[in-house]
Amino acid sequence: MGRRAVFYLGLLLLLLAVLFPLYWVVVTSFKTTRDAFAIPPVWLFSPTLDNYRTVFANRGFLSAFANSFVVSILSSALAVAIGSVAAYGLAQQPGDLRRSKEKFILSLRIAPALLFVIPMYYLATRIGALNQHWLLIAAYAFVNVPFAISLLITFFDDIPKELRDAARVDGAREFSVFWHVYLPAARGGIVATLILCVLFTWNEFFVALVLTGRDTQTLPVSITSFLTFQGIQWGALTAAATLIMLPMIVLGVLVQGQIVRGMTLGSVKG
Amino acid sequence: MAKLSIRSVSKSYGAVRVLDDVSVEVEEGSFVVLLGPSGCGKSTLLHAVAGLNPIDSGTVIIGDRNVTNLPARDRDVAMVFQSYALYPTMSVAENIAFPLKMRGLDRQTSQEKVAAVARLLQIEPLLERRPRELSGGQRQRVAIGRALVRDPRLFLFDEPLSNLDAALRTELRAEIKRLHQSIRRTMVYVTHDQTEALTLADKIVVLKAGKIEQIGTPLSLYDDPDNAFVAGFIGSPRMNFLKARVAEDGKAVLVGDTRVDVSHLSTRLVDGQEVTLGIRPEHLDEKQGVELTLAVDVTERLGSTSYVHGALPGGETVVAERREDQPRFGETITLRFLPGRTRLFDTQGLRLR
Repeated sequence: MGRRAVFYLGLLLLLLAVLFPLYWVVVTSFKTTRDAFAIPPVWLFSPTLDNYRTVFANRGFLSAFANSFVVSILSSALAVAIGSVAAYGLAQQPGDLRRSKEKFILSLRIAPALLFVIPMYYLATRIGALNQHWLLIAAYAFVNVPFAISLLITFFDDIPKELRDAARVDGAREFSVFWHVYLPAARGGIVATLILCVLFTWNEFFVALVLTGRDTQTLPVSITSFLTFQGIQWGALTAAATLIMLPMIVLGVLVQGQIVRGMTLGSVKG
Repeated sequence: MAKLSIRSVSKSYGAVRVLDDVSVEVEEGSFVVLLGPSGCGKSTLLHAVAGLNPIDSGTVIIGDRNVTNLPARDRDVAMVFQSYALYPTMSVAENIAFPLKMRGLDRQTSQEKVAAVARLLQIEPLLERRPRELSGGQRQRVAIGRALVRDPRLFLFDEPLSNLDAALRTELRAEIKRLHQSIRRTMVYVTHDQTEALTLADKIVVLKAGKIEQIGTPLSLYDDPDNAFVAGFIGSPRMNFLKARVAEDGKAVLVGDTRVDVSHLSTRLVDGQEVTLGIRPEHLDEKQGVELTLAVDVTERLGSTSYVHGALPGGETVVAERREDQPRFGETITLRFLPGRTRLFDTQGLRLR
């Protein structure tokens, strides 16, 4: 009984530690500046939408929202498209051959982003691509491909090998096996991988900071514009943060089961 | 429809030789069973014929086409798997139509063929269902349907009944037999179950550790095995093997003190030579002949007959069929057999004829 109580108490503390900042951000976004910094904190207040008006009046923020949306969707789709073909190929190879390639892919995941972002920045300035969306899309796709491969392999491994044998005897070429049999069978995994890629890209800051120009700024970079020389606009900042979090939370809740499955599979086997 | 020639096929996985110079001829329209214990290479051989596993050396000829280096899709074979291997995201109809779709057949003709196969296998009510909504027996019927729909040159079965329960297995076994009799296509069937092999096959190929032990009709393997492995593997309960010694005159062997006449054999036996005498349980229930005393241990009653497990005075265990009585534990009974029914093997297990 005592152990149980300690367990739930610990759980409560953890939940508080995780959820309180979120709560604080969301709540602050509905407060006036005065309420936001009142000490002791005001728990009950009359909510205001002023902060959201400020954010939506900011053209930079809106275009950043569009940029983030386009970049994360396209780069993730690209990463999953490339990753699924590669993962299918790897999943069909005999153990020893496959392991060496998996090690290489894993090393790509471990490598710090700095390693390729700096040379990429240099090249981009040289060819004048710094202010173009495709540069960012390519960069994120490149970051996400190894991740997508190692996650998708575990989903493809779950599919019985006999299905490929059966399809080959039935007259399918390798790509047809992939397209007609493996892809539909791993649909849940594909969706989970896609969403995890989108989540990562949506939240990513460092690569975006280096590789975005004025027209291609994504949300995490654009949000820094609320940290001005005159001081931090806490109200607008938290409103923007809430808006950034919102789609991802909705997405996360929608596909929670698949994602948990995908992540545990990835961590155990990948 | 075509004949199949497997010529000197070998394959190794690392240091393990899973197929060792295997040659089999399958006549047009016949039903050949590859039989052996698990790990004997029978499935590997079937996969080699299908083109799913490359082989190290040897040739596979289907009809008059050398398919050794052709990919599976160009070999024009169909295969039924132990795990059914139905495509989980497709309906039954789509599963059956898949081989046609892959070969670019138009939708109209494809639908007609699927309907015809479904009628033949009596799975018409299932066509719109998904594989996971089917029972094991229904799944295997669908898998057979997928193989049938294209009229391939060769049918391959990889232990198709192993995942089914006993009653279904018997039912589907008869169905496969009926199917073969009605369409008369060349079929190669892999199993470790000798009953399936004996009931289905025109010809059985017995494999052990990647080598062919014997090829023959079910009856010839049963009556006239080349070696102790085949003799033991075919027949249920299995043949009894008794240690024996050749008598002084070379015309008989001694099992303990019991003299068994083997003068009908043409092999010259040497006095004192150690041999193994094989005798099947069903041949130990004669009215007259050589006698052995058996101390009964367990009796299995099957209704129409019984099998008695027990020990000879020398301690060797023996299984004997008993049609008239059902002796109990502790009783001592007399087994009688005709010397002509025995099979003699040397210490290497090779048959002495």
